[in-house]
Amino acid sequence: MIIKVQDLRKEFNGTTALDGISFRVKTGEVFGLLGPNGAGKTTTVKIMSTMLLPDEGIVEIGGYDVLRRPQKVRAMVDIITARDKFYRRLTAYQNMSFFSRLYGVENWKDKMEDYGERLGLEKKDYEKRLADYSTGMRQKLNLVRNLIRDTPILFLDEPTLGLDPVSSRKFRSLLKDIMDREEKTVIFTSHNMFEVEELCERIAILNKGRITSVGEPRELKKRIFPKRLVEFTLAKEDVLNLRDNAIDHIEKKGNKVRVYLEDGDRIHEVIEKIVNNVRVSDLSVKEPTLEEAFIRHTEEDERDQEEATSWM
Amino acid sequence: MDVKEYFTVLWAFVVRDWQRRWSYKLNFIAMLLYPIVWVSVFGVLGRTIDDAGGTGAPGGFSMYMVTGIITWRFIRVGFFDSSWSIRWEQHIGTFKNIYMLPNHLMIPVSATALSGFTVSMLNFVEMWLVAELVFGISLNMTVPSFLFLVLAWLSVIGFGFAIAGVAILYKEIQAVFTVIFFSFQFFCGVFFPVEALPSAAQYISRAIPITYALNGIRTSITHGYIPTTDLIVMPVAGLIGLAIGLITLQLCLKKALRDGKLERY
Repeated sequence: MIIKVQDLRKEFNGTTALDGISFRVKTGEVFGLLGPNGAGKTTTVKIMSTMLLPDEGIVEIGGYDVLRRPQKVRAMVDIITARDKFYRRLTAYQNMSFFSRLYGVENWKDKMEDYGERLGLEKKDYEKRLADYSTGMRQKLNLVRNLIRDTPILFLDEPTLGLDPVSSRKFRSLLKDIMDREEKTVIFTSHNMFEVEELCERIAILNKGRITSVGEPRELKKRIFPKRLVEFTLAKEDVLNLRDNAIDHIEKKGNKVRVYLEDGDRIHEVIEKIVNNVRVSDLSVKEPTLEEAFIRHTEEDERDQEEATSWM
Repeated sequence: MDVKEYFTVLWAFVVRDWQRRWSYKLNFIAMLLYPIVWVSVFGVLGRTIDDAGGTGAPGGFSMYMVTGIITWRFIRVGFFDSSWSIRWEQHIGTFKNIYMLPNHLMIPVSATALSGFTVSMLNFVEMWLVAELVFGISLNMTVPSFLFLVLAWLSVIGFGFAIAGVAILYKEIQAVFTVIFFSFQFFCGVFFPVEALPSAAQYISRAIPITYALNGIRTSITHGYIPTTDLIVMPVAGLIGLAIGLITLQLCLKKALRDGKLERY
């Protein structure tokens, strides 16, 4: 395990930001921290990157305790956020020259041009001042800065915040490409389910400073929201008369039918019953999105917490 | 981090700062003109007072004024650049990237002070030339007197470290220290002799190390030696200042890490 977080707690002026979270991340794994605003994602990342001291708990990065060996930890990690800045009055070359000297990187120019090309930056862009860069270009250069530094662990704290949907999609695709090639351990935080589902191998759902669920996106969806959905168009003259324990409920709108299954494992049996029973067209099976699962899970968690508090 | 790496990093900051200064062309020109105007104003003022009978200052009052403003320039830059360094990076938004280095936080502070020193050196040469060529003031800058000037610069950096640390937590604190620091011009004999102050104020003057820096430089230029008191006071004050600065910086950093104020501006 390259990252170990155990019973981590943090309060700010009496408000609990983290309430005893624990998780572990394997070397080379892309791990997502998913949660609404204020869930504790950034606080967790800041503690892991030695930018914030925890109140209680253990955090080890690459075997080093963040409290006892912060310098060793900082040498292993880098963070990318949407808030990252460069010196606006300097060109990209000048900025990168400065940061490369700080990080002790040799041949920084070759590396910058190589990574930049892969990310869609052109050589002429490097002569421009950062003040003339778009948000998307700046974020690409930010990624180049990290890749040049080449730390084994990378924290991506809502890196697409503020990017438009097209830039955001491009950025995700670049990240995916980099993650596939570079063998980095990545912690990715976001409140965007789609991003997390697309990029992460495992996810921890954070809500109000607690981890409420951990697992692979598919497994998590199934666990939290086991319903699956069969959609089809019913022939006009046919009447649907379907009964099965696996069915949760059926929705009908004109001749469009939606069958929600409580037990997703028996989907094939139900589809067989449907096609034997009536004439259908445009039949498709849909899985709940992580977003649906997340919203449902967060609502349930908040309801549980409220009930627990009402007993006190 | 070995010595070579340390100086590579320091040099990176110096280069970055010069690139940034050069990117503001008009400011760059103003930076070059400012000491010329400054030394001219005080050169004329000193000469006027000398022509009117003088003050009895060794080498004349114009010499007194010029050595005062040259020394003050080094001290001011040493103090302000180091105290401003962290706050500036926080303001720009680049502090996180510098903090994420495995190096100690004193690097950006000392590097910014060093960068300011290079500007002071350039300004010093300009002022020296104007004083010599325009006003005929001969500054006999020997190696020991120049080293003493560097020592004066070093002696205030420690206090700059302290302010840099406090400014992480309390952003407005620098304005308070600016007022206090500029009051030193009044107490320390930058523009007029300490002896011209009321006797109670002279006690305050003697408690501020800058008074000894100015006296040491002036005596070394006019009489060719540095008084023993000044030679003892300056390094001791510098070391005490550095110790206070480093301890304050560490304490403030720890509090900022606990309160989550490190990245925030």
